[in-house]
Amino acid sequence: MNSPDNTIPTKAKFLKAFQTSAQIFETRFTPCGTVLLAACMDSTLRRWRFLDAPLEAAPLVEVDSKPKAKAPANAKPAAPHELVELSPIKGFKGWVQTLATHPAESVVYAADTWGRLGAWDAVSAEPTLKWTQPAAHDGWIRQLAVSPKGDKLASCGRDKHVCIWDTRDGKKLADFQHTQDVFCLSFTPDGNQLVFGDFFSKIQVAPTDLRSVIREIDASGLYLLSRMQDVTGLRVLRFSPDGNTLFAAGCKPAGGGFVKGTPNAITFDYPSGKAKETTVIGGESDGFFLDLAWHPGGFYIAPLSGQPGSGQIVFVRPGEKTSFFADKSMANCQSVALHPGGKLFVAAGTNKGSNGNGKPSTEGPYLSNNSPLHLFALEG
Amino acid sequence: MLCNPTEHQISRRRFLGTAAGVAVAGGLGGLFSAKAAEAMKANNKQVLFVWLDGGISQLESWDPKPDTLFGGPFRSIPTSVPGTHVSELMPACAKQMHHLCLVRSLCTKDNDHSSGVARIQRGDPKNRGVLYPFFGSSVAHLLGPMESNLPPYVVIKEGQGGFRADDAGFLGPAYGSLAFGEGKPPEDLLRNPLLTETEDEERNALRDVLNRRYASQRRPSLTEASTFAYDTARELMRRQDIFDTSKLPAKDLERYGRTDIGTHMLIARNMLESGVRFVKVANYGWDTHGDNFNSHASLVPKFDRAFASIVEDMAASGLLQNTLVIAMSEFGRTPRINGHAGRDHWANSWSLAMAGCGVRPGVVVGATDDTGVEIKDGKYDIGAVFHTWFKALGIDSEERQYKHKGQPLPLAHEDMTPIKEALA
Repeated sequence: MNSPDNTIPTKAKFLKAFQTSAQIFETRFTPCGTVLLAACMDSTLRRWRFLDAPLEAAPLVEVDSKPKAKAPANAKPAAPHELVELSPIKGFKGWVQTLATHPAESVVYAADTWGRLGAWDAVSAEPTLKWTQPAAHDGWIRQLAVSPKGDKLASCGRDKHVCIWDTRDGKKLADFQHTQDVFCLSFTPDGNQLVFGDFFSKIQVAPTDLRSVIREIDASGLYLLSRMQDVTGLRVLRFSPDGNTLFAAGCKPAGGGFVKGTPNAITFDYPSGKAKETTVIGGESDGFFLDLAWHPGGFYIAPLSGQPGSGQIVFVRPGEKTSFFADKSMANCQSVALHPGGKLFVAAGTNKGSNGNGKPSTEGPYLSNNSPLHLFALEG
Repeated sequence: MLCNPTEHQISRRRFLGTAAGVAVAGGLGGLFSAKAAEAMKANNKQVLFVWLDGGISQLESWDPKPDTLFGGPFRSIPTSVPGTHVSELMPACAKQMHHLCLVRSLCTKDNDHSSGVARIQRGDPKNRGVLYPFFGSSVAHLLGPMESNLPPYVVIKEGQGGFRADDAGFLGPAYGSLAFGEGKPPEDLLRNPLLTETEDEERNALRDVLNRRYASQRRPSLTEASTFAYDTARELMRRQDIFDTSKLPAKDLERYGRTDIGTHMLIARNMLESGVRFVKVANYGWDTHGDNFNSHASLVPKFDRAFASIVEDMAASGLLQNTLVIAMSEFGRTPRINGHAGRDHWANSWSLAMAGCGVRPGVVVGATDDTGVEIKDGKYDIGAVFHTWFKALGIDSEERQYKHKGQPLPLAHEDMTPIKEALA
């Protein structure tokens, strides 16, 4: 899944941007690479058919967010990829903040902040519900993860529960009562264990029956008590494919309120639980690692949230102190979806000028913000 | 009715200078009229003012818009008042809603902290070339001290304490606030153990003589503040129990929450029970431009426990009948959610909560539209809120005026009137 000449990618080239009408938290491709999915703030799970060549159907409006002056004069035309929006999956409440895809089938799992969890056929023209759990959690479901074999779905939430579900029918297989709000989770690559990180950035490890916590890993450096505000820095847990390395990423908070903090990703030797290296990027205005997409070339593609108006996509190798590539053209990057081909990825950001006190000075309707999708090609 | 601040300054200083326990009228040595003394005796109104500095989000507290464009991730929950819902982050306040009055239709003029904090707390009156007092200073001036002899306007806050003369504006520094950093009494409050009580009294007598001599040759504003601070400190020396958090019942600490705001609210309860006229609990860190929803998920439940507990306790003890309780910020937060999952400053449509004396319990005043962007019913600026508070305390702000250097000044914005629906 490297570049055509099998060189390992070292950078990304912006191809084009697509406008959306919603703010996006998380985005993923289906395993077949034909549909891009997005968990959105407007209570929907959006879907786009990803086309390798233009269709006759009108493409979405392209956003000219890249300064033209940066493009070399002899640059080739952008690859003719297009996104054509399909019917969204609706029926959620609050936000849809998280989704996960089956590793082999075209099934998407999504959850909302009111506790609903469900599974849908991701690629059919009209979304088809496979199963749903209307009250999987009491409130905000923060993150989902599918086991490597695709047989189990894990969820965690603000109700202090971690649950395992059967991906085929949505039957609950296990339920762990935590003592804190649980922010993030990940299966180990062998599928035998689940790791989850809480409010205080403490990581716990349990077998997938969730009967007991078998050990803890300390990432509490990513937690801060600022005045009386608990600032949870840990937002993402990911494993290297061999399962020997656990990435615990988020930010080292510097304060509450604005929630400034420096992006930090702690690399743990998973067998021992010992921290090996911490990747630190930028400063206190660079925010959180909000997602990590593992590239087979041996690195993560990661979005950094930044402060309103800033943000970046970075490439990070496990164990290195900082990134080896950064693209700062997007504001407030939220998520990265690596195309299964390994040559493209889509990043979700936020429109420029998303912040500001009071009403904008311009007259007209008071609009919500949105997340442009930026398509990048990986290059050696 | 005109009211001269100077009279109150003198009377209060003398008042505080008298020995504890001396009857109010008798201790005033004739400087205070019998009528005024009677009025003071009858007036046992107090205020608890909970200030959430930086701007609590109305959408994550008193005016939720669940499952709407700007509603955020949280649900709303029913309250003890049928038909009234609040954010799911406030389960304790939901149970006390029958004591509360919500105003969901505040529309004020300042989106900036540095100016907005003062504009809100001074009532944002018309510009008359003078600096208006904070509400706490106004109450300290208009109602005077209580029989306890304790300082009439105190602030319990994190960080450092001290005397804040600026709060008082044109009323003069004597009506400033006495701030207790971390709820603790001023340093060096206790008498030096090397001094006997007699020696201490002799020193104080000498200090009084020297102070009077110094003050006689200077403008009162230069000496009022220090004299006031010293007098109140002497009184506080007698009331160490108010600050002793080690004696707070464990059950109360648990109910109020073992947090800054929980502890500070318990100290506030002590102060109100001990006879402080106006207690402000200032809590900071509500300026959630980033990660607003996780921030509020952490902050609001702590406020919720502490605020609901003190309202519940005051209702149970009867203190709520005579105490005006207010919880608010300098503005609310934008409906629109920025790219850092934050909400910015918003003065167009936001909320506050009230309870207690003079306030109609269990009502919601005003309403915003489905998105929380526009007020659709009963738009009120802070001037109307000030009139409402004065009215609730038995002060007729539409008739009564300050007199400052011969200039009559309205107590609150003269183009506005009390919010009738909020008054009992």
